[in-house]
Order: sequence, then structure tokens, then C-alpha cells
Amino acid sequence: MEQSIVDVSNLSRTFGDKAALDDVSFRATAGQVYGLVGSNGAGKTTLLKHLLGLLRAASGSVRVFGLDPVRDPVGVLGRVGYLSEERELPEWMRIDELMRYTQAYHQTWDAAYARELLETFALDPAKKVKDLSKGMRAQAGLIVAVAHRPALLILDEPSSGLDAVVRRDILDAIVRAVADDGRTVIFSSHLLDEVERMSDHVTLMHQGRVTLSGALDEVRRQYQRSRVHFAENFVQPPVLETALLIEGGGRAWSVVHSGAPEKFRQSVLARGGEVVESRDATLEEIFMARAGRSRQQMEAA
Amino acid sequence: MTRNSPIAAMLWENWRLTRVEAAQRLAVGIVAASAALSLANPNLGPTVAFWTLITVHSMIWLSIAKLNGGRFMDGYKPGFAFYLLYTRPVRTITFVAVAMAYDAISCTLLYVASAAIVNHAFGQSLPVFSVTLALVSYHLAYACCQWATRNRAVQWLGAIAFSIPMIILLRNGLTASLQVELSAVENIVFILIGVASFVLTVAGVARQRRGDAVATASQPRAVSGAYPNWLINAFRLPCPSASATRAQLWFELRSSGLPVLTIGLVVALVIFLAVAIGAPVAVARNVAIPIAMFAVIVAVFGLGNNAFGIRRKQGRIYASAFESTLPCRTAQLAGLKVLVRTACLLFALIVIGACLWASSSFLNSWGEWLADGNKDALPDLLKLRQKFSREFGNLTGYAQAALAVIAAILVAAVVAWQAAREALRARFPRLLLAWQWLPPLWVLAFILLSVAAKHSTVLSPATVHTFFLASFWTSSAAILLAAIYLLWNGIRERVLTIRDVCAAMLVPAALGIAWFTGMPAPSVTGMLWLVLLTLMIGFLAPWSLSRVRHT
Repeated sequence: MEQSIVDVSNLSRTFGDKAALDDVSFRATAGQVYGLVGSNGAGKTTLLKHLLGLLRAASGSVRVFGLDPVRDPVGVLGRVGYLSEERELPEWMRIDELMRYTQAYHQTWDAAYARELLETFALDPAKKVKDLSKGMRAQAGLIVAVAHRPALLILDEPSSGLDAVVRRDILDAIVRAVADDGRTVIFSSHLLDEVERMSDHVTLMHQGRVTLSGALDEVRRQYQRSRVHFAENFVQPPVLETALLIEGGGRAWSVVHSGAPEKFRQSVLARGGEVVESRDATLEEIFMARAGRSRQQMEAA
Repeated sequence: MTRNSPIAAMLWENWRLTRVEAAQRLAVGIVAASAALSLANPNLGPTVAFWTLITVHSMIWLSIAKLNGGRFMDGYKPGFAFYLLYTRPVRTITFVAVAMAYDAISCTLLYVASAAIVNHAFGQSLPVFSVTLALVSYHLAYACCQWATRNRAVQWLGAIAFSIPMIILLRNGLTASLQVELSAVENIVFILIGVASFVLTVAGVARQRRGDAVATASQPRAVSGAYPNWLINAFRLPCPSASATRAQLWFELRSSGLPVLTIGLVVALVIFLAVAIGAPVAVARNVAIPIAMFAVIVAVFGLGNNAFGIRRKQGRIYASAFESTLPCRTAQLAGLKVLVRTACLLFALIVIGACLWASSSFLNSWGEWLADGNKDALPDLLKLRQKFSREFGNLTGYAQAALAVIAAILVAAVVAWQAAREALRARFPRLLLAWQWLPPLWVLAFILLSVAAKHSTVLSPATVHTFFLASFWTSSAAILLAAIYLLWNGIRERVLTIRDVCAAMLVPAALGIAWFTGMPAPSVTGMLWLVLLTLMIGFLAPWSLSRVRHT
């Protein structure tokens, strides 16, 4: 069994009456990129903050490199690079001071790599953080997070504020380089195409719970999108086995379904229809189907 | 005005923000005025009580000022506090009028209520309604200075420039029977000040709302929990990258230590100049003495505040994620922050003290100082100077060194306590609020007992003494238990190591040595209390930072 870099077991956390995390388990191994997806308030940032020790585990356990990040912050944070969602950096520092300051905390700081990234982003080292735009601040934060070549890179909404070119070319390249180096990346994002493009593993969170988790290819194989035609008109969506999301009307329906395709085909046949076309579902379709299903379950409860 | 009108919503917002502070101010004002009336000289008591109430209720609402991102020069975003209203479909004049009216009227009403209660309880005749016009116009003028501009220099110099003449005007209107009698002209002046302040504020806020003010003042910035950038960037020290401790020292020095030192030096210079100017300009003496008297206290509590750099933003109190994710032990981080701030503050205090002493030599050339308009207070000041010189000169070298050690430890304890308090406020706001009520309640109980003992045959001064002793031992026991709990919890959660505990033990050791080498301590029990308190604060500071770092 591969050694876990991150091991979260049955983690729960409430803020007042609201359950931010509810019995969450999550595991990450070396050399992989993990994407956390979910709607606003799903618990992605809360989970990442637990990994950094910024939040204490109310129940359950969090281990990063086998250590408790709250009890041993030096052991954990010394090997972690973190880009926060707020891009919080000391406003009064110049970029070169920020680099030197961060370097002091990390023996593994790669000055050449930091310089290279500064040049790639065309950031002026003499510029103060307070004078940077939101995107430039994200770039500075990203350099500080990756230049010490951390064993675990945690990125909270890394694309926020970055333009399309930086996002697609540079961020992807950085993340891929980290993973190819045998290190681990965990990032959260609202952009499903980005998660699909960058991750090896995907974890879908909804209302504080992990509703889906696994290797991206495996997850995609588990879900299919099929176009079905029925002989008769349906006013309401037809009830089909393993179906998670049904869209359309009349005789033509588009269905996202999980499980064995044969079972689904039999179900369609039983209602006088036929499967016209089937393909692996996209992450967005899976997300919509799972999130919608969770909402329905909540409403039913 | 319907229930859902914007004005009702804005008034509700103001009330929601200030209700706790209003209760605090009411309590603090009444307790402090009662203390002045009970404990001070009967001739002086009512005057002190009056000025105490005026001081408490002439301040702008701090709960509203905090919307700007923090306290003075601490992550502060200058300008109109309700800047979130800029995007609401409300005219500028409306929200400025609501904010200014609420500030002025609510604070004045609190004064009226406090003065009426104190008058009723003590049979006094402190001015109640006669000061309302002065208080309202003072509030309007102060709000104008703070809200109409984003320029800090204009804000604070403006506030000083109008405050002093207004206080003098109020003082001149105070009669011997402690009533405020203002002439028609003075009343008109106050009214004009109020109207002009409102007009200026509306104009200034309108400029800020449409973005014109940005070009002429510093850019509003995100809350950084630090001193202004121009002050921080006045010191260009290269960041060491060889060790994390050195880098953190550099961070603390640049972000807060050296700015604190600079402000201390400026305060010292201001004291020196104010006292020196007092020789040829008699009016300046009324400014110089209060500045000199309160400089040390204001420096310790103002410049020694929030050493952990806890941030505030629109009611949210939090620690910087950047600093929280540094690979550094919490106790080490807390220790470095407190040590750097203490060292810089101590240096500033030494300079302020030296300037106070040097400038006091100018007092001889003043001739006279009519503090209350009649009696020359200069001989008393000169006697005080001589007494201080004699007392300090009579101390042995050991005793002087011991006093220096004690002073340094006390300053460090105040800095650590204030840092811990801010961290606890972020984590346990309600609990801290409840605990903050204990000292004023204790003072109130003490005053009530003292007054009762004076006027009743049932209670004797011995009862008051017993109450005092019981309070002393109860607080000592509570502090001891808190210290033990914090030590146990700190070690259990690995916030504290044995090394940290040994370092914390150096404080009582230093206090003990200072005591044995001739420190003029009040008693063994007093010394024990001081040792326990500093030890408890020593454990509390890292624990509180840990609580806010790992929420």
C-alpha cells in the first residue's frame, strides 16, 4: 500500500449550528494531483484549513506526513506550500523581501526556480505587495508557495484572479511539475474543466460531506451520459434505474446515470425506449447530477 | 418613516454596532464619576467627576471607528466608516446625517443619563442639559475630522486643533457652582461649528464616494494589521534569509517595532517642545502638562497594544493566514513578537522619560501656571520634581537596577497581556466581554462599600478592608489556578515545551532577585501576587496565540 501524505479520517466540524464538515475521510498519496470540487459552502476550504492546522479537528483525525498539524506545526508547515484563497501577504513587503523572508523558513528554497517564476510572471521584485493587482498578488503567492519545492502543495482556488493564459499554461505546468517530481498537490476549485484537466483524483464535496471520491478516469467511467428515445411522450421525467439526472422532454431525454450500463439499458427498454448514444460523463455533468441528487435527498428528508 | 426605510436600517446598524459599548460607557462613566466623588477631595471630587463624564462621553463610538479596520495606525483604513453604504441607493447626505446624528445624540444622551444618575445618587449638581450643545457640536466636529478626509495627518491634527479650543471654551463657561453658562455668542459658535462640520463631512464623504478623494490621499488598503506603510518603509533593513528566527525578528522590527519606536521618539520630542514653548507662551502650558502627564500611560497601552498583529475587518477578528502558516512554533512566534515590541517600547519609554526629565528644567522659567484659572500650580509641580529627584537619588545602585528590571518586566507583562487579550477577543469574544466587566464591577462594589461604611453604623471601615483582603486572596487563587491550567494545557497540546516553561520561570526568578537586592516592594504578598500574575500572563500569551492560530 502506498504511503499516505495526507490521511483524514471521519473529520467533523461545526460552526455554530452549521456542519461545515460531516464525517469526512480523505487520503492523498505522493506524486498525485487531487482536485476538490464543490459548490460554495461545501467545505473545501475548511478541509484544506484542517490540513494546515489552521482549524482543530473537533472529531476525527487529521494526519499530514503522519503528523498532527495542530500539535506539530513546524514539522508539517515546513514541508507544505500554501496559496490561500484571500491571497493574504504582508502588504508592506516588497516582492524580493517576501522571497527572502520566506526563504529563511525553508532550507529547500530554490532561488533559481523563484527567479525563473518571477521572470515568467514578469513581476518586478522591487514592487510592494500593496501595489500589486489581484492577479499579480496570486502570482506572488504562488511563487512563495512553490519555490521551496514543498512535498505537499495546497492551493485554495488557485485560478481566482489569474488570466486564462497564466491559468492554462503556467499553473498547469507548475502543478504537473510538482506531481511529476513525486510530490503531492491538493487544490480546490469551482472550475470543473480545470479540475478535469489538472487532477489525477477528484473529490466532490457537498454540504460538508464527500459525495464522490476517486481517480478521475475511474470516476468518469462510473458515470455515463446517454441519449434515450421513447415511443410515447413523457410529461414528467421517466423513472429509470441508476439515473441521477434526467433532462429533456417528450420522447427525447438525456440521462446521466451510474453503475452498470446494461442495467440502465434494460430499464429504458422496459419503458419502451432505446439508448441512442452513450458516452463517459464529463465532470461537470457528474457534479450537476450528484449535487442535484444531494439536494433532492435533503428536500425529501 | 416606515419600518423598512433605509434610515431605520441605518439606525438599526448603528445601534447594533454600539449597544455593547454603550452599556460599557454608561457603566464606566458612572463608576468612574462615583469613584471621583467618593474618594477624591470633596472640593475637587465634583470637578473630577464632571470632566470624567465629559471625557468618557465625548469619544466617538469606537465600535463604529473599528469599521475602518482597526484602531489608530493599526490596520486602519482612513475615511468614512460606513463606506459599504456607498453602493446602496441612498443619497450621501442621508447616510452622513444618520451616522453623525446617531453619534452625537446617543453619546450626549448617555452623558445626560450618567450625570442625572450620579447627581441623584450623590446629591450633586453636575451639569446635565447645559453641556448638551457643546457635546453635540464636539461630536459633529470630531466626526467631521475623522470622516470627511482620508488624510491621516489632517484627521488627527484637525482633531487636536479644534478639540483644545472647544475644551477651553467649555472650561471657561464652567461656573464655581459647577454649571455651564455659555454666552449667546458662545452658543452661536457651537451651533456654527456643528453646522459647518456637517456640511464639510457631506462634501468630504461625497468625494470619497465618487473616488475623487483617492487621488489626494493614500490609497485605501486591505487590512494588514500593521502600521502605515510609509512608517514601516522609513526603515530599509535587508531581510536576513539565513535563519527563521532572524527573519521573524526582522519582520517584527519592521512591521511594528521600529514604527513604535519612531512614534515614541516623536512623542518625546513633542513633550520637550511643548514644555519649552510653555516658557514664552502661557497658553501652551495647558497643553504641555496634560501631554506630559499622560504620555507614558498612553505609550504603554497604545503602543504596546496588539503585539500579535490580530486583524479586524468589518467585525471579523482574525489572525493573518500568512503568519499562521509559517513553519514556526507558536510559543516561539509569541515570544518573539512580545519581546520585540517590549524592547522597542521600553526604548521609547526611556526616551520619553529622559525628555520629560530634561524638559522639566524649563518649568523654572515658566513663572506661573494657572491650572484651574486661579491657583498657581507651578510650585506643586516643582516640588514633585524635587521629590522625585531626591527619592530616586537616595536609592542604592542595586535598588535602581532592581527597579529597572521590575519596570521592564511590567512593560513586557502589559504588552503580553494586551496581545493575549486581542487573541482571546478573536476566539472567545463573549467570554472576554464578560470577564472585562469584572474589574468595573469590583470597583463599583468597592465604592458602594466605602460610601456605605462612611454613612452607616452597620458597616465599618474594617468591613471594607476585609472585602479588599478577600478580593486579593480570591484573585490570587484564581490567577494561580489559571497559571496551572494554562501550563498543563500548553504542555499537553505541545504549545509549550520544557524550554519555554524554563524561560517563563526566569521572570519570577528576576523578580525574586530584584526583591532581594533591595527593590522597594510593598509586601511579600504583593510580590507573590505580582509573580503569579506575570507567570500566568507568560503562559497565557502563547496559549492564546495558539487558540487563534489553530481555531
